[in-house]
Amino acid sequence: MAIFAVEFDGRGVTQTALMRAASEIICTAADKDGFPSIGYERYDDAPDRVGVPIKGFSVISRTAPASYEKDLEDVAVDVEKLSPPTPDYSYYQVCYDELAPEAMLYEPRAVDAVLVLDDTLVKGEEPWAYIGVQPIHEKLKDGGAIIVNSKRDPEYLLEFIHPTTKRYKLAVIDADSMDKIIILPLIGAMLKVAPGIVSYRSVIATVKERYKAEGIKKAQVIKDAYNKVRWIEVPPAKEPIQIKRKRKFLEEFPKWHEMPIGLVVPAPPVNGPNPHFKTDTFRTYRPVTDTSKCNKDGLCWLYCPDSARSPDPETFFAVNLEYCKGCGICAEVCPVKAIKMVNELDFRGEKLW
Amino acid sequence: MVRVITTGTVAIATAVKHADVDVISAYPIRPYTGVMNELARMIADGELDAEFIVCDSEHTQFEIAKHAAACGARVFTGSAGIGWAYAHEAIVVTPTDRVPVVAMVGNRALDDPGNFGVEHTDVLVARDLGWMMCWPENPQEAYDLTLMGYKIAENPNVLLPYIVNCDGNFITHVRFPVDLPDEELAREFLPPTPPPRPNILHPDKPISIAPHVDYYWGTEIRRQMDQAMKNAIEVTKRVHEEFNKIFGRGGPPFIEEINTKDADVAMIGVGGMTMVARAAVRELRQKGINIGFVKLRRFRPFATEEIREALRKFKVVAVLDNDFSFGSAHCGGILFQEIRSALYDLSERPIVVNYLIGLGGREITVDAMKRIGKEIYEISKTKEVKHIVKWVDVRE
Repeated sequence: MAIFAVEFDGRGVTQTALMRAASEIICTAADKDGFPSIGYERYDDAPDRVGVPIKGFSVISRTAPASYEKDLEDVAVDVEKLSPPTPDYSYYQVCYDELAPEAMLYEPRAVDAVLVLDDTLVKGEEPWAYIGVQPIHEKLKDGGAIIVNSKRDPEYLLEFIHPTTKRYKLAVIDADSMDKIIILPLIGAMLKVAPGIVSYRSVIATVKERYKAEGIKKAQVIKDAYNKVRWIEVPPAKEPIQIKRKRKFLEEFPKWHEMPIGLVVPAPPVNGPNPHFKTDTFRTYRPVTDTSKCNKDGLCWLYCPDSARSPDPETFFAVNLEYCKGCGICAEVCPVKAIKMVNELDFRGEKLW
Repeated sequence: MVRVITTGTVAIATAVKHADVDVISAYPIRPYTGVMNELARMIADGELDAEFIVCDSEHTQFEIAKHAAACGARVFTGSAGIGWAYAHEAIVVTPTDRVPVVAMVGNRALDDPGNFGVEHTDVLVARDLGWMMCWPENPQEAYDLTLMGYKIAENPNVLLPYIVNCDGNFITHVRFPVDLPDEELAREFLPPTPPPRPNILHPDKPISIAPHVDYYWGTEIRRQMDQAMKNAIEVTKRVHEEFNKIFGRGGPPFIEEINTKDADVAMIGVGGMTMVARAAVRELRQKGINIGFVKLRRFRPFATEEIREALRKFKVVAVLDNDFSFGSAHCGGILFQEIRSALYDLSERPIVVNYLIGLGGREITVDAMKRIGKEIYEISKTKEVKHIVKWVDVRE
């Protein structure tokens, strides 16, 4: 008996519903395989804030992994003709007993696959104050798979991922171009790159059921992604790197008698940002100022909701990139269109850790 | 019967739908919000015909629930943490008015700003007021206990309000497999019309509820409520029996014993931590530690006899409190105080120790439970208690 888990990484508001759908599809498919599962979104996340990194999960208890060979046979069949599985529920209860305590955790202890809905998240995520940056493979099991929705190559994305002593597969699927429900191509790719979590046949049956009239079309998306996905094997780094700003809470947070009483925290410096909460991982696009166009009117500084810009015109109101959330208001209000929003992954060669 | 993978909040909303309630009063607060969202959806989609009243605060919310129930409506409401605390004026009067309100409380920490992790103190603040209280272990049981709630609360010998507690996040927000019965089966157990009772406001038979009361009346009013709570024990047993017969599940009414046969020591607790305890007990037994877990399904009414019968056979009992009572006897938890007191007049009683676990919503892990199990097993051998009350997983 083993616990399998899938993690979904996305961004607040724009991808909240998609992540829930992904978790529901995988859990329902597990049920069709005859095994119990639980699904949840991380409780501390603030999915009502645009761009905030959020996570969701599916956790499944099975007696054995789903068969890769069986999947290959099923993929050869036309999705329209592929019949739903006939599950055997005889191990359901024993697997449930194994699974139940996992429901009392905020995150699974380890995951088999990480599905990344927005490729800029491969740089890691910092959703709350005080915990620091969590790398994208934080919970990944050794030998697991990261599947990214991206137009770029896996080798390119690898430049932005923290080196780790874990061995893993890095897969890429251009989900945006395949379906507006971008989790479907990601799930299809997962079936190929991280087989065994749920069976292909059950996923197809689930998708057909869930999307009713569009069921066949959506099932075809799963199949296309299964056949299309590209990946590389990432060898383990020789030694782990020290990750900037990362904290483990039980070990590194202050003891109860060291904390100030009465929920007191030091105020952030006057006119300065909060040193305990850097919000750069909220950002998909980075503002870049064309200094030849800038008329130094300072509207970008004035409008910045996070006070992330310097008031100094000589620096062209330089952005403090540790706090810029990439909302794009500065680019919007600039009367001379001097500010462009550029995808985070276009900035290669920066020192990330 | 259909198996769906869904949260405790949706399971409870489904039970409320199956109970065919007339009035729902709502005000959002995490982790209760999921129930009102789902009920609103059901009404919008035409699955449920009920008045859905969005209130300006929890205080209004519980007032409306109370008044609607006084008019004979079957009602549902709910809240969490400080929202529940804000409604306390209405909460105090609801049992006194003897109206069968059913509410869901999504247990939430009291109240470090923004901390919505589970902690049972929010609801236990109201433990002495006459509300019946129960804790489901998972969404399946949340459905079951909600449906049973109406039947118990509306019994003419009880007529007290009833709370279904739900561990914030772990039961309210985690999607589990849940067997939802057909509506007809639910109706067979709980008819859509509540049984008649004398305290219903109706123009044909004018009455006045809750007039001015002074010391000529107060003691007797309390004694009536005391009797109702005592009656609730028998009624709960009967309702459970009936539920078990119709649905083929539901378990015993007050306590469920897990692996307690031949056990030397046991832990006792409520709610979602039971899922963790089952695993911990299984693993400890494999290592030769004879340990069991007693799941307390209902805290009000407190089934003194059943609890004494269940616990007297152990050498050591560890009460696991996901709540606090600062400055109480031994500075222990609330369950601890009550369970220890219930065992006092037994001629031979177990050693009772207390663990404060999961406070502020901290994860309750199998490892922590195993540590507790080993510690109390050690106590059973040496008879030496180093700490009557111990904090689990606190950074110290």
